[in-house]
Amino acid sequence: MDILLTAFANVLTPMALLTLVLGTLAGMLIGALPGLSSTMGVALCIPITFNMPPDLALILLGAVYVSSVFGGSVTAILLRTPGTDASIATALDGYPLAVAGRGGEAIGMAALASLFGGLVSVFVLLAIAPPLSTIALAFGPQEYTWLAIFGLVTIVGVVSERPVKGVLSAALGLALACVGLDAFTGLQRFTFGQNELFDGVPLLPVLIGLFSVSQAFNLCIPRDGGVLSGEAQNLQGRSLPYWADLKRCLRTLWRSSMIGSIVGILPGAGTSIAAFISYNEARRHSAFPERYGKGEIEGVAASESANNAVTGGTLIPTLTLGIPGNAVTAVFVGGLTIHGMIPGPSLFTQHAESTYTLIVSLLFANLMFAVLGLWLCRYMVAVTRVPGAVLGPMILLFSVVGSYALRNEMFDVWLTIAFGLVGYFMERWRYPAAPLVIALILGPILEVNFRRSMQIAQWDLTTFFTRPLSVALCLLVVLSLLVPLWRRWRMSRRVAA
Amino acid sequence: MMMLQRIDRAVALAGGVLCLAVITIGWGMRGDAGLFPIISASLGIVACLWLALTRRQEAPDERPAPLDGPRLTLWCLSLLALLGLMEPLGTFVVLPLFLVFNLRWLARLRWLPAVVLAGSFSLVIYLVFARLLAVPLPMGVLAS
Repeated sequence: MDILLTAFANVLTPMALLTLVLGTLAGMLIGALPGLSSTMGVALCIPITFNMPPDLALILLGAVYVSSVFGGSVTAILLRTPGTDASIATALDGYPLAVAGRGGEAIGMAALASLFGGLVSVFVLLAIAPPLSTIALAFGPQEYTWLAIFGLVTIVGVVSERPVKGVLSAALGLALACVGLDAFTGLQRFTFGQNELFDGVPLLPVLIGLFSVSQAFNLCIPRDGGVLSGEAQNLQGRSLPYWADLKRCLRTLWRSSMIGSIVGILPGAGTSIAAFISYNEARRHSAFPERYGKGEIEGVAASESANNAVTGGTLIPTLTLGIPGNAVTAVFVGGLTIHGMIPGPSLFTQHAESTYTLIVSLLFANLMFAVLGLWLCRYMVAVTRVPGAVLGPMILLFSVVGSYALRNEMFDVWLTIAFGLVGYFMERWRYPAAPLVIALILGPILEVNFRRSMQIAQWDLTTFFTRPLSVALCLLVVLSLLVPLWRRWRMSRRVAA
Repeated sequence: MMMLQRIDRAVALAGGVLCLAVITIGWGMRGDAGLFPIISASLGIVACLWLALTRRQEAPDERPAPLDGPRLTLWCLSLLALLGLMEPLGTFVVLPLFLVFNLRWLARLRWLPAVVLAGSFSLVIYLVFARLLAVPLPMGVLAS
């Protein structure tokens, strides 16, 4: 308890609060710009922390990390240009809300849901970090294989009116995930001699192309293009969600925050999977599932609370076991090490004060971006009133410069534009782009773990059905396949009757 | 035949050919390196067959809005010019030119607002990416 009070005192000093505000603003900006990821944001801040006291350094890194995840949702909602893959699910309902003139309300809900998810995950981090990370370590390659399949099944079911189009999009994503050096044999697969493809098809140019560049096309090409449509142009719009909506979303917020915290603990699982699983669960439990994808505010709440809950979740194995769950926390480990703190069980004993200061600062960082988000959303929403032909080229230029900034390669820029064109026609012809991106993320996880399991079990497929956790995840996959089919069958019988 | 259905069948055909090519290449790969490409492409072929063989009624609001050919051509040409000239001329030469062109001819703004907007936006990009984040954007003729 004493250590917690000391941590609170450390965070409430003027210097720490200033660092928190600056870190939060920087994180929100980084998250909102296409091409700048949370990983890049934390990495860019590490050199700044060299001469800072460890407590302030950790506060800055923590604030940039959590607020960048929220920052991505602002552009996802207002412009359908998710800054990071974590916000793709947010765009599914957030953008239709913005189109209907309810962008401010959607950002308000995103800020509150992110705050909720972030706070839940910090409490999980404070309360049950060590036992949870032990469970996470029980996940072997078989479980990861099932988890990746579960993620794929979920996304295909969520985003498409016609599941076959989602399956085709996911298959294309899986095929793209095969490009690059094979992790087991070292063989070059589908690289066609391009050095830039040795590490595989880079995710962010694909993401930026499919969502941001295609949106620039959508805004620029029609003569009267713009975000707001029809009557929405005359709407003033609220900047806060209705209290009734918040109450209605409370159960979803809890469920999604728990899903986000748990998925975050699993190394490599990622924020986008948590967001999509939560979105799917919210839709499954909703009394109006048909509203999802057309501007249902509960969809925004589900994905935002989940993706921000992941931030605390990923820090659990990082801080307690020294195992970074994703690229951001791997960079985070670098930041800790620079200040002489080696992640692992000793962190909570030898550097307890700094560690708890970091955890408490995450609480404040969540509060800070929620306050800033709620305050700024009424101004940010003005961007939706800008004519499409003015907004489009600007989105495109941010995308071009952002994708160049990833590796300083023109190849990435060309790739971004190529996927932008693909994304534009996919949208026109009603093929969902999200399964392609998620399959590109999950493909390597699925392949590596599937082949690893097969090699361990000497090509005995029963290895996927002999471990209790595997069986539980397998049942989840089967249920997520069967439940929609059963619902459809029941509805068709009802219609026939 | 309805428009979207024709498009779907064309996509299914193109996707099917691509998936067959992936399977053929994957088949010849060393060890089990080709296994996952073959699985992915097989899934793709199943989806293509499913897509090609399904007949469904097209709702009136499903049909995509007519494409504005001249605007698409102008936009694509300016985009190609932007990418092609970014390295030889430099980002901060091409970027404002691209913006002025688009704001003047696609957004139909007057010269002054187009130039002011293009200039201030380029300045923001310069400050955020080149100065603050130290991204080595191609400088072209401005390098010296």
